[in-house]
Amino acid sequence: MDTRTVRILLLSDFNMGVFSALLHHDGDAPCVTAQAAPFGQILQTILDEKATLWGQAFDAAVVWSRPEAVSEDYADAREGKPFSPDRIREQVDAFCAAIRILQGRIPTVILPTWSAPYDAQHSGLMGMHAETGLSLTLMRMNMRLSENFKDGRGIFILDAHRWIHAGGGEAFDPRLWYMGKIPFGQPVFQQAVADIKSALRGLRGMSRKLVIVDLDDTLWGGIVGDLGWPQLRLGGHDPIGEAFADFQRGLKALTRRGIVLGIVSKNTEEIALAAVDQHPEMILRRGDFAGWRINWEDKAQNVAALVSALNLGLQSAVFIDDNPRERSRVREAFPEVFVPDWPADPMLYRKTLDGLGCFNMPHVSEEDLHRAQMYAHEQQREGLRTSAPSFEVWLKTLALTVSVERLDAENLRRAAQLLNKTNQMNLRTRRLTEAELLRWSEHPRRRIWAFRVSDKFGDLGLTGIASVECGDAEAEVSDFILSCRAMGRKVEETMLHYLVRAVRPMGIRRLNAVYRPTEKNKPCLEFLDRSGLAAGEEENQYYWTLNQDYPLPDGIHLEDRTHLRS
Amino acid sequence: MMESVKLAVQDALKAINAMRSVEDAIPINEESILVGDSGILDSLELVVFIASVEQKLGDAGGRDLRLADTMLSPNGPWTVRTLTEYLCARLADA
Repeated sequence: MDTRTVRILLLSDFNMGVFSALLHHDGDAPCVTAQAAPFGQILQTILDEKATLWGQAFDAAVVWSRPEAVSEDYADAREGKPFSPDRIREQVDAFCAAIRILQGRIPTVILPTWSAPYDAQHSGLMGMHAETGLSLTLMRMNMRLSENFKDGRGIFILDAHRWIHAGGGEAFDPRLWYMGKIPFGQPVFQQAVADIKSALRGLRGMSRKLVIVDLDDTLWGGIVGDLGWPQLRLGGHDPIGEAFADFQRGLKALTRRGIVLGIVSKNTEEIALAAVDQHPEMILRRGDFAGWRINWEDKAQNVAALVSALNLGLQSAVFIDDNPRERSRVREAFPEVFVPDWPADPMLYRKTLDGLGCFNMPHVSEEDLHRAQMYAHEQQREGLRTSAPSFEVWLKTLALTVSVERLDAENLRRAAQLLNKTNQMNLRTRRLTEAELLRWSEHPRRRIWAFRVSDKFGDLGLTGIASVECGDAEAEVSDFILSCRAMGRKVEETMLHYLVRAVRPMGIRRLNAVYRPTEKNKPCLEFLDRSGLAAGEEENQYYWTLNQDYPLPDGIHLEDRTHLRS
Repeated sequence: MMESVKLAVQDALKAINAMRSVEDAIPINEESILVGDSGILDSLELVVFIASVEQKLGDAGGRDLRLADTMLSPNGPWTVRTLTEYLCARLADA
């Protein structure tokens, strides 16, 4: 997780002072410093290669423009003049071309969609006319914008209509426009700040990955231990039952985006799981949960135990419980866990879940889609580990295969996700966007590899990244990253074996790894200490001399697929 | 009437404080000088403040008032108290 202050450049054709101040003083992570370019000069600023702004390093840019400033023809349309849809498309494309230039300088660009000014929102019967409708024209402009950046690499479009909806009657105030060239009311900017912060958290690996839910009166209505599962309020022709079912649908939808579910409930496990398994209206079943702690112990301790069992950090977890005392207990015990205030009315559960804004992610990878299944496989592995006579026997029984790929268009997204999310087995905790990672790898003396792990239970997916920067005779490991789900199975040693093998043909005689400590990457230090690498001359430096191979662990099959894709 | 005016002014100051750090928050008391010598609102905040007060009074059913010319005039300084009194007087005239 990257908690650095994010430096943002604001480019706009209106006064961003209010937005900038709200963004700067907002208390939610990450901290932001915002600098506004002179307003009304978006294209001039972007196209001026010598502008002093470019001497500064920005992490992200927010380019918030008005449609009438981007497209002269749209401005004409607003005034009832003839306009050309083709020219509007060209004007949008020209704007998008400038945004691509900007992204060459700033890795992440956020574009709010265009919205109608207060005087153009209601064009009545003609608004959606197929040729001349002003509302339709604006929709098409936004669609064109979206199509231009559909690959999602570093340029993200946020839906400003959501913000305007949130602003209600205060969304537009002509006084603000005429006095200050501020097109929106403060509630719009406040919602924009919330969404942009959420987006930044998602892009920097700070999104939550695990939702832990209570059962009674949270996942269903009623106390299962008292009523028995057939009497629970869930689904059916009952508004409260429907609301609980809809809340479960919301949680299920999160699992399809890679969010993991867990249960912490004060109940008798057998009785509670019978309800999960047998109630005909349950949307979530046992297989949807990566783990549970259903007992009569302290919930805070159960939350910690479950998070630990899933190899996640407390900062990854959200805890949802209808009981304010339990929420307060978990909040006090573990401030890192996000414990949202929860409404008493079950009919507000789904709305509250959908509004949490803590699950933002730039895209959903193949690994995300199968995460719950992966945890189920993990439980099977752990079961086998308990019964195996030794670690070595267990490892051999797993029949691990590690396959190596070069970084390419197909795995870039997942590689960047792993780079930005992994905390524990992470040598230097570098955080880079997809575009930055790709740019870094294009240097002729740099190499980056992605490692996939599978075993007899299933595919763990792309779980490792290693990269090196080569000098004449020595190479520095830039990244050494392994997802916690593959840690402790000799995959780390296999990655080192491959690195040594791969850099030797480049004339490298020594491979150095300098550990950069963070609050969370001690497991990486522990691995380095037991890895057999020699301690270097510098603090936290380890190295391997390439006059010998780094041994490939017994029982692991290494598959080199670097020659298969380009 | 006095209460709704006070509320409008307080809400407007809260909107300004959302744009400031906690340490720099404007104290919401009657003698806070808003505009004039030692005035605490910068030009952007003054715009937001005026728009907010006008909107809140309009929403509360008061007469539409234009504050911009008044608050930018040399009749200041405007404190929370003098502004509230001025607004009450204007609304009473309506």
